[in-house]
Amino acid sequence: MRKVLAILVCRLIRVVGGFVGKGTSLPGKYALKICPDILARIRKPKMIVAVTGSNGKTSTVEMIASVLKASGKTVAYNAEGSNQIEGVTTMILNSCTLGGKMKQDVLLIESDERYTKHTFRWFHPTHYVITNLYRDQLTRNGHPQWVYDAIKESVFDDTTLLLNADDPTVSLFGQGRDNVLWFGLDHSSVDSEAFSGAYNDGIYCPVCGKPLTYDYYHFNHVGKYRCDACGFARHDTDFTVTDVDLEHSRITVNGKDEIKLAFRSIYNIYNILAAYAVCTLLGVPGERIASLVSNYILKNGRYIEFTLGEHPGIFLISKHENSISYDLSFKFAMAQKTPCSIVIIVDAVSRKYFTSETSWLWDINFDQLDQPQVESIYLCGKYCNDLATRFSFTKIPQDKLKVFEDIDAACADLREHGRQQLYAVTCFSDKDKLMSNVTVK
Amino acid sequence: MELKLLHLYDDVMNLYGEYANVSVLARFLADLGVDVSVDTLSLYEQQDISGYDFYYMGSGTERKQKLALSQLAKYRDALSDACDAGKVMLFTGNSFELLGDKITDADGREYECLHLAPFETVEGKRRIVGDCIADFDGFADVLVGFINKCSKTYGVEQPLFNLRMGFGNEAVGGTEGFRKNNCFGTHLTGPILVKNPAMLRYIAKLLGAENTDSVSYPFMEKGYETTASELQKRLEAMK
Repeated sequence: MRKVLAILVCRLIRVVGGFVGKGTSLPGKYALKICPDILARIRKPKMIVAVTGSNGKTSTVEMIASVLKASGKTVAYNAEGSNQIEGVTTMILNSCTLGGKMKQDVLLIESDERYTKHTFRWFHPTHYVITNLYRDQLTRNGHPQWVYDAIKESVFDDTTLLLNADDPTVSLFGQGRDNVLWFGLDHSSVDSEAFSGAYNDGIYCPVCGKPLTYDYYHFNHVGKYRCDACGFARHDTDFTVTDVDLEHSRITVNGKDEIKLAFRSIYNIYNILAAYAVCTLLGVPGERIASLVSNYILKNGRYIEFTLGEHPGIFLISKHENSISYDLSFKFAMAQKTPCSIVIIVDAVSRKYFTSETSWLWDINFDQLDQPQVESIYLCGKYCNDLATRFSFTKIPQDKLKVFEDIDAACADLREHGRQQLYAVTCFSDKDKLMSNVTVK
Repeated sequence: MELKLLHLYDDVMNLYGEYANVSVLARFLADLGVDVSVDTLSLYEQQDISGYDFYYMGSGTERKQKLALSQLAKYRDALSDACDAGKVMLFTGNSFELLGDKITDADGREYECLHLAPFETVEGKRRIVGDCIADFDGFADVLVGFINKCSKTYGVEQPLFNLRMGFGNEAVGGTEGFRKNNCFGTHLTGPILVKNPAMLRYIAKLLGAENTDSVSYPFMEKGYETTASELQKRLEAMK
């Protein structure tokens, strides 16, 4: 009885909440109050896929859902990205019958990496993808090992893990376990033999603390590593990007399936690979997956083309407090080799909580922007002075810097001067402050 | 004038961009006309660490902090002597916990520390995070920063700061950090010498630099003002 009541209340609040613009986590919150073990009581599909990690959760889930639906499977998933237990509960209770039965083929869950243990206390996923663990929102998350420990509490023996073999911290989840499938990138043209980054979180073995040796790096501390002291090493992969051809925007998976990239970022490649792995395990043929994710444009809009005055521009949505997302955005921008200006905005560190913490700026490898094709760099927003201080410790000629606390004034300056390509790098929290000044293509 | 700086375990104890504390101090001293050199001590390196004018260590994950401790123990006498001799030392984040008697982790395991002062730290399973406003004796303006830890530190005889906002050694508000002679420990994480130009000048003065008001960095000063004003607004809103 409480179960039915919880479902009804959840749906009612969802409908009402929909009118007032709220409604992804509140309904689940009330349902959990009425019936705390509601998630255990719902009859769920045989296949339950969960995705967690620092970056790529939403994109990976979106692609998996898209492929499965196009392949004739029914999927329940948290499309709105509300990924803590309340949001997951809202999604599940809105996807089941009033009797508490889910009729879909697959339950697909994006799960917040720090709170995933609360969700999977009530049921276990059959397949659990862990994308990566980086320094991300440390003002909330502490540090990657702290998040590792939190995720560890949600990993059970009856779940098949799908792990990013190239990330040493993620690989730790597979230690001493048999039911693990691994995904990763082979050695390719995007790799470097030397480490690049403002800090190196892969310098010592996460198992024994002795130095890790890398054959090559895909980016930052992600690559092919081994520890000569204890034998911990990058695992062979079951799902592999065997070739990367960024010039022609394509990758090859498992030596046979060619996938075209709508966005030539290494993140996108990992997200596609994780989606490919999951969909293969759920019975979709590789060539079918490849055709469905080829040129896939994500709905969550992390790549937006625009014009500002005579400037063509590309918006590369990154995440504040996440240095690797910035590093990869700059890597993408610099790979285009076109004369350009860079616009960086740090105005609100987070849209969800207050903090004035900008230490993370020191973790970003801004020296990547020390290239002749970069004509100027606009440092904008409330924390423009912190950005300018950080840039004073780079090799970049300081006369390329333009510092604007007022974002509109920075845009006005750009509108009046020049026509070079722009790359705008900022977070969701500050996105609209630029978007209001540009014309989206 | 010549000054030698040593950055201890910059390879493992550098979780929140803390290398910048050493970078900014080296630049400031050089701009003041000091002949400054910076050395680093990496985790498994053996080095004579005596003879430096300034020692620095930043924060690490709880595991890396223990890893650092396993190697640092052999430098106990050198660090203790430097502290007794009044050398300037700065430990930010959980690195300062290593200077006390012991750390007890969340599972109850105990780790003997360097015994520079009789305090001890107990780690828990809850993360303690938040922006901070701190008062420091003799400073006209407040200091700003961020604390990111999972521990409480008990028995500090001479704390470093009084907190107006944030979680101190043992509780919300109250006192924070540790001081013995010119050795400073604080749970404030990140580049605190960048965030607080007054603290940078203070450390430089202690190191014997002269005319520390003759050089200033406008972006740093304005960055400080922005954060100080944001945190002040936040503090008032919380009341």
